[in-house]
Amino acid sequence: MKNKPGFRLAMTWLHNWTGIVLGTLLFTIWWTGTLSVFDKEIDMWMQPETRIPVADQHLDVDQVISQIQDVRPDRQIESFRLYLPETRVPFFSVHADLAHDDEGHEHQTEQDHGHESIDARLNPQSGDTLGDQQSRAASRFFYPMHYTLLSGAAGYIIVALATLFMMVLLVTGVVIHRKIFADFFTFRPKKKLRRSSLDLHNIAGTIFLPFHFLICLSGLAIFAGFYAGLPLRFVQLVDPANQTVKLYHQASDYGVYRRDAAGTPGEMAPIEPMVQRAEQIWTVRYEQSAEADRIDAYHYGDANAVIQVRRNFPSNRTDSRRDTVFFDGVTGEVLADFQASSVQKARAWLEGFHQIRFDHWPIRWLYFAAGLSGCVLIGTGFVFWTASRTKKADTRQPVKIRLVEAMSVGSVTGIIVATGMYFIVNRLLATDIIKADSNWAEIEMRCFFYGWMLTFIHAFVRKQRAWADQCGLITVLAVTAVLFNWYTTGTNYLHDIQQGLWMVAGMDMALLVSAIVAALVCFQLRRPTRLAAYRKE
Amino acid sequence: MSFLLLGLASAMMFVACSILALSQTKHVVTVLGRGGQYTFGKSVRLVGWGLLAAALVPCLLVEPSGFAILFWLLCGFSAAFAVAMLLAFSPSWLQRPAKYLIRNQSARSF
Repeated sequence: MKNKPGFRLAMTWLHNWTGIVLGTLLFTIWWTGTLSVFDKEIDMWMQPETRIPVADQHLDVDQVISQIQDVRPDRQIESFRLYLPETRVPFFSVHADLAHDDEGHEHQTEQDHGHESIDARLNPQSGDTLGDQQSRAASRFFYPMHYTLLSGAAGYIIVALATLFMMVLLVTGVVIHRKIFADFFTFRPKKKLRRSSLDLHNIAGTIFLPFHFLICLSGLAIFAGFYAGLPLRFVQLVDPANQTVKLYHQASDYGVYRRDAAGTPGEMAPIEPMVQRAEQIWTVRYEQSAEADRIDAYHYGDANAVIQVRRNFPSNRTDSRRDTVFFDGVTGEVLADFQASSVQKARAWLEGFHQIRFDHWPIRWLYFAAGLSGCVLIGTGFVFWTASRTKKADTRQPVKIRLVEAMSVGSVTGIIVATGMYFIVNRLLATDIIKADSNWAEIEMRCFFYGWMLTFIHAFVRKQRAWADQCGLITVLAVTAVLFNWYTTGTNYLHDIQQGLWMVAGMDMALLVSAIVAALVCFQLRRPTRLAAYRKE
Repeated sequence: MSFLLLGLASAMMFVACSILALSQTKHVVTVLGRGGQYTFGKSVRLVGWGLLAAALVPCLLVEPSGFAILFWLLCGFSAAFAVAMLLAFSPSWLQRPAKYLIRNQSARSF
């Protein structure tokens, strides 16, 4: 059945205006999501102290905990969360809360009430600390920006609505595209910009359509619990002491086993055998090797201590897991063994598909390429909209077109420029050029956002030429980032490969490839014929 | 071995997408120029789809089903995109396969 022209026109209107209004937001979400595919690699590049080759064997958990306790021998660890080393994060990462200070020591603020915690990253073999984590890098900047826009609960809701509208854009795009199959492989770069940008928009949209749709759907599914729990959050807002919300989330995701502290000290059983026991339980259950990735402890040092061993993201499976075994911290006995329900497993599959925490390099690169296709889709949508409305020479361009064009340039190349600046400032902070003691992350973030803002202003001033300008700037920034990495760490691409630091070498390589691609685009855009075609179209 | 078979699967998907693209008259014209206006029968398209489906086999031989299907899908999308780019920027690279198809399939000149 053919679509009625009126229906198609309505869909075209919806597609165009949704794209223009939400394009900047959508590009930000897609770009940060694409970068998050390699978040751990970017982390390692931005935090050279974590550049450790993957170790076959690591310290056992008890040694790590004892080492953390040694940092503050006067304060007992009350609870901790420990991430075990894995291929992409080859070190221990621990957050430990220390017991409240009951000895009447003075505290800096009234709020802290003696509360103190330790955050540390430890070398998996020597147990040495890897220094303070000064930069937010990717996993604490790009990654949360991808799903919260760094705006807390409001950000979750905005991203969810944007994702819903992205799905609307995909569906309406299919409706209005008249020749999906006939134009499946058709890209005519030598035609006018309006035609060539629409071709690229169409092929990026149709070829990767299943991926784009499923990634939006899985993104929504990951936070289904958050959206479903919004009424409960309202309850918590009215009554902050209400624990229902917390329990709701814990129970839905990982089961819940809670018991109050006994108030009497207990001799802690070794944790390493508990980890082995949990892994044995999962290996038998799933008939394939299973490794724990996270350990949590509550009421540690108390007679009612609980040790929770989790397996959230198996490296050898596409889906995430909810496997959790609760142990008695004193006797080492299994208290509870949580298994996800069928619905939770379905959600875990979508979560695993979206978060790609598994260990498979070819698929990770393919995800990166597919993520970039989403960026191309949104970027070319912007270009097509502007090009199809730029009928006259740029001097007579209406202000609204100029505004949309500035928004397009700032959204697409601008955020890439800002990303390049973020990397460079990170490397500059490692030198004496910029002095930074405690506000390293703050400086990086400010550079990112101020730099990004400037790209919008630049785009408004320079009009169409801004595309080429900013592509040229991306080239310069990407090459500079690689050189600064070399200068500040004393290691280069070849050295990293020799040391087995493929993650760092890959990051350098990706920067150089980006520089080449941006330079080619810049060169193409600067060709007089291309620029003239853009203006006269 | 794993990488070899995944490479084989990728190559199969690239060839399959090339065949599917060349089964469209306008792309044969792009590749061979105006003199080569041919249209292929359904058999060529079937070969393309068959090769695309067959590429799943080497994936399944070396990977668990989840990884195999994910690799197959994503690699298939990327191969199709790569073929579209090849047709746009270096169509001459596909001249040989196009001529091979013309020689061995019941192509109809028009």
